[in-house]
Amino acid sequence: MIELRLLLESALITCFVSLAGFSLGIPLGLLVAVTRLKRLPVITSVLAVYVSFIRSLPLLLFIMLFYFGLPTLGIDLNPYVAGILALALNNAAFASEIWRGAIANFALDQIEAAKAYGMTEQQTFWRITLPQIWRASIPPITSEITLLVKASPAIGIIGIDDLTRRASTLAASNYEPVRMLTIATLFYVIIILAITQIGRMVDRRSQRQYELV
Amino acid sequence: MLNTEIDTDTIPAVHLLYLCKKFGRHEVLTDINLKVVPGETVCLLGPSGSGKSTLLRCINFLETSDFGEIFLHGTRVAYGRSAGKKGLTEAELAKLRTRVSMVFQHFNLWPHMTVLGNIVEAPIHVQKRPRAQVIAEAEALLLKVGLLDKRDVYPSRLSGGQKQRVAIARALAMKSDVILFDEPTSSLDPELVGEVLSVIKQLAEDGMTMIIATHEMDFAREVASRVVFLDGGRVLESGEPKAFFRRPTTERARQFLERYVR
Amino acid sequence: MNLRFEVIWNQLPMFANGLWNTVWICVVGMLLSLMAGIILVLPLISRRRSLQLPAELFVDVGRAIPFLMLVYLVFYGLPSFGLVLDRWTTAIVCLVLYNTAYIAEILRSAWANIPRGQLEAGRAFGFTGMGLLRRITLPQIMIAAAPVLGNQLIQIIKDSAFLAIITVPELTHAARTVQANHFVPFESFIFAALMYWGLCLLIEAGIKQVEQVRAVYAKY
Ligand SMILES: Nc1ncnc2c1ncn2[C@@H]1O[C@H](COP(=O)(O)OP(=O)(O)OP(=O)(O)O)[C@@H](O)[C@H]1O
Ligand SMILES: [Mg+2]
Repeated sequence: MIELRLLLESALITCFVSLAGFSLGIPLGLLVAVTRLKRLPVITSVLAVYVSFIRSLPLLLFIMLFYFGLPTLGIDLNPYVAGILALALNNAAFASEIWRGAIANFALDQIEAAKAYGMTEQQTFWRITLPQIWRASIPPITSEITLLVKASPAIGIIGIDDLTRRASTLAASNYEPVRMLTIATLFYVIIILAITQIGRMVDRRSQRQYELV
Repeated sequence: MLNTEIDTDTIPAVHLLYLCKKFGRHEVLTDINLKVVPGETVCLLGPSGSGKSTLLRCINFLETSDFGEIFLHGTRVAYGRSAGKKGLTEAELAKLRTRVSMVFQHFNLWPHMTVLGNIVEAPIHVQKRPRAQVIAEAEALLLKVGLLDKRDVYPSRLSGGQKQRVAIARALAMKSDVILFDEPTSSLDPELVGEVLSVIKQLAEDGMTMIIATHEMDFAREVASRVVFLDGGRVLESGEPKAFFRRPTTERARQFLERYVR
Repeated sequence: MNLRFEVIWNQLPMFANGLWNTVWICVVGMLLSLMAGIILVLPLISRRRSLQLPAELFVDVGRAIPFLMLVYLVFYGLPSFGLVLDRWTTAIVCLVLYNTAYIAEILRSAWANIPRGQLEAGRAFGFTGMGLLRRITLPQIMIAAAPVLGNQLIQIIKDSAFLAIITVPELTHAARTVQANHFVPFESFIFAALMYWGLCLLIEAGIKQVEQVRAVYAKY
């Protein structure tokens, strides 16, 4: 069945774009969080504004701003680049809040212990803090990724044939709207459930590694 | 050994016969026989895990007993498994619960209501008593526990001792036959214990019927009209506090007292 | 590059209208889904597995469907069953369907974090069923969940932008229309973005206020 193949193909596009989005967004969020905690004069407030602004911006509007608006300022992007960048920047803002919370809640005495053993600030972060906050952040990061996948239909507006856009064009053209839309919805449910399961698995694995269970 | 033969004509406020309680396969209470007559202050003593809390919760139907009978003021309210989902409905249980009120170890005040709100809540909305009268009574109770000035304050603004005194006023407002206390002072800072114990002592002098699980031996010696020693879910001793503290009859009680009384 | 913000100035009524529509759709959607969420949370917190399971299924599946997909299902799918909704009704129905699952889950987790003793005290003092729920459980759930519900309102506002695609004349749609008529993409999108930002900052200020009031009487 040709429609099923088309839908599967667009599901892969959704997966690819989302994957690219959070692979960029999550480390970027960490960078934002760490930089904000350094309390550099101007940069910290710029980043605070960035996070606050993006967090209240509908992704659809953000993507249109990126793709249709930036050319006015002389920046022309290919739709995939614009879509992925917008998803990544959006995801980074939310991820940075998760990282920031995790770092702020991190036990001070461990950092002091690391200092007492002569570790530099850099070493402390990479060897002591990060491995632990990474573990604590797996569940919220997982749910942030599912939110990213669910917001990803916004890229349809700049012509990327993701699962939602493909389903709606098929629905409009072959007079079987219910079937097309239902299949697409099922794909989403499967993708989201898969992400949740993987998140749980990674979480459990990391907990077992540290013998927390 | 068992003191079930207190000679009195009065109908007991609480009467337990062969009460048993299991959690899964673990028997927590075994053949508990206990008779509490109006005006008595019974102190439940016993090591941690001996079943004091569970016993109180069975009397208040927060736990369902597995075997045995519970009489409240001569009325048989539970027998066999009947106090559970099968026998009494939740509404009937609720009605019974208003005849025994409870003071919890961790106060369990409702944080979304003021001090006065906490006290009048159940009398007005469960017992459906007239509002104005309940409020007047509640104010009198607050005066009694020395907290009338905290009438309109929310619980989070109170010290632990004040919270527990409010909780006692809340229990009194139900005008129930018996008040159960589950370690009312054990989550308090040492300097706050006194104020709560003196309120309870006052109630004892007023002739309130109370069952108090406690680790405060001095208090039990002074206030209890009777002490009941629980160990491993069984009543091992029951009698006059003076006699119990001077000369316990069982080896377990002697060991227990050695650890707690110095 | 020359930016023409005077076009935006001239189109202000259009933006204001869009903003107003966004606000009322979202507030109505929020209130209705709050009511539906309170009803849905009852089976979620009930002790009966047979009630819990279907509710859990609804919540889990409900949270796995993208909002835009849901809008398409309602707008293009329902007519096949002879049910044609106009775009306003579609907007409200979708917002409510979508958010009920989230709000029920928010309420459930607030319930799970209420110290058990306080609910038990309610039972010990003779409250049961609806009385316990109405006087003791629900007020505490609502107080505990208030800030998270505020955040959910922000989420609803952001999701509502997708309604522009079925031409509900809300804020994003207004920005699209202005840019299509006057070719000022950057200006109109950034202006709409600033309006969303202002709206969310306002709600966040409201959340702070609620948290302060709440801190007066309840420690959570
Ligand atoms: N809900 C429950 N499920 C399973 N076991 C329980 C439960 N509640 C209590 N128990 C068990 O019942 C026994 C008696 O507990 P209980 O709390 O009544 O003791 P206690 O005398 O009040 O102790 P403490 O002085 O520490 O408060 C303990 O072994 C406890 O582990
Ligand atoms: Mg106990």
